[in-house]
Amino acid sequence: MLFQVIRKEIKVLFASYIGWGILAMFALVMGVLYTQSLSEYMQVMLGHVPTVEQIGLTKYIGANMFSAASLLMLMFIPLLSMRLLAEEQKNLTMAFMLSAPISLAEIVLGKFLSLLSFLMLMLAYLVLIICILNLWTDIDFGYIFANVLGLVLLIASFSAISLFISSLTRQPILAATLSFLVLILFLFVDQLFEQQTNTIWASLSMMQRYKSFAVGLLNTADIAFYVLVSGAFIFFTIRKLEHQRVYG
Amino acid sequence: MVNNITVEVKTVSRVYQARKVVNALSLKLEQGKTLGLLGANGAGKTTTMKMMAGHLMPTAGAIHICGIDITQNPTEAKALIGYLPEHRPLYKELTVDEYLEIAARFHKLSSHRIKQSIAYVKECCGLTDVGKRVIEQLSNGYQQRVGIAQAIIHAPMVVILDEPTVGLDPIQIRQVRSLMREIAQDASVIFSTHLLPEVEMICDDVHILDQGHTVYQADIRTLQHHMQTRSLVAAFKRPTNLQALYQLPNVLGMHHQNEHTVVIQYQHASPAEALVTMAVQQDWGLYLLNEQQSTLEDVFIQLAQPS
Repeated sequence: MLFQVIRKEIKVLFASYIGWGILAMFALVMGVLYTQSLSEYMQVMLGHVPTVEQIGLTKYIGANMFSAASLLMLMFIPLLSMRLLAEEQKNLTMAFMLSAPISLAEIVLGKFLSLLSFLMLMLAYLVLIICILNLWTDIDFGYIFANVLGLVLLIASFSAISLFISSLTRQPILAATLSFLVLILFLFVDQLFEQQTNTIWASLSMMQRYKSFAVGLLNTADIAFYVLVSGAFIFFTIRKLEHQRVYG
Repeated sequence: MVNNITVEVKTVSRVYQARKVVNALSLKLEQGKTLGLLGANGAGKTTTMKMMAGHLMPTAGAIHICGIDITQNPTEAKALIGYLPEHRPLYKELTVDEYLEIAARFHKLSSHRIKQSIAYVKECCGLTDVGKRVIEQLSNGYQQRVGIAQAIIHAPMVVILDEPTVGLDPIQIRQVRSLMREIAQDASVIFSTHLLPEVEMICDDVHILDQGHTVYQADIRTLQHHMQTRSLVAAFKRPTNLQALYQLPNVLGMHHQNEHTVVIQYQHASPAEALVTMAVQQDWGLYLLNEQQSTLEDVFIQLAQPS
């Protein structure tokens, strides 16, 4: 049944303009950044622009594109997740799924995975245009793998948090705005408490965790952090819907 | 399934924000029967139906669908139910076929059965020609039919329809009522309404709710017996003799609605013909004679009065 929920969500997403619109915007921004980074790299290689250190093509282009992708996700995920629960509750279409023999856990997991699948499409496009460079030069696949894994874990956490916020209100715009603010808080929480020596804020910051992936490092503590955050917020969302069934 | 009972509601209550929306409600429905849940707005009809459909948990009591407790085993029980809420849960950006296919897949129909079921419900609900159209572009009546089609696509044992005729024009109401009669041939149907004539036309059993309480529960014949007292509204140009009107057959009582208009309560057969004859003989100038339909309010008043 999980697959059927994912299928339905993807179908509804592509039946509206929002799915296509977000894909087009992502492709456009990434395309512009890609060509720009490539031409900048050529300038560096030709010695027109002096550099402090020698840097590989994968790292040069990858660093720009992966960090831009993570920021784009920060905007896209609240927009996509607001539809998943807040809009369904506002339009009273949630009853369609609640009437079917599907458990609440399957509904929430299905919605989460459908969002993740859609975002994976964008990620696949990003990886494809970077890997295409392998036709002309050697690409550091290890670096790309670490970045992709980091980005997947980051967007999974973003999606789970946004999905939970989407379950809290029937107002899609409010859900998207709240999600955006909460995600920013999670990303940069360490910078808010920069003066304090307490490392707890740094360990909660998603950006700090993402930085190790961005330089090509795989740290199991960081992986566990993202998995735990995603799992916890999916669990909270299921509990919220159960609470609604009992008391709502 | 025991004794062909498809729905059994046992002293179910639902508390919402410290207010009892449904209070110790009990009912039973047999296979192939139609139950009308009747009540004014806020009587607790929608909450009761949401509990039967498994959307809300009862605060107390139990609901069994074909012997399965919907609170304990919601997924098993929901597989036997088709539900259309008051607000149609339609994804309006999809076509009718796409929407029905999703509904069929959610109810675990095999790929082979999906096509057959979609074709069948489209034929039943008169949607054959609009399968490829986007739901948003359909009229209100057609959208309601799509809503009903998704509720019956898996041939459920119990079909729950919340105010299925609200907002439809008279022709669409007639079509939806006839569709409900067809559905009731195979499944048990529960529907809510605040229109008494609708209940008389379709139901086998009636359950009247008021502020979450059951005020009346019987089969339709018993209700019709309660509704035997009806009224005639007559307007005269010249003053009338009320005492003379009491001579008319079957008259129980009367009162002046205004200076010219009299409301005459009667039982069994209408005294309209005798009234016209009398008005002509006495030269009262009868210019209006109208049979008044019993309203839900009348029935409530009737039921509240000891016989």
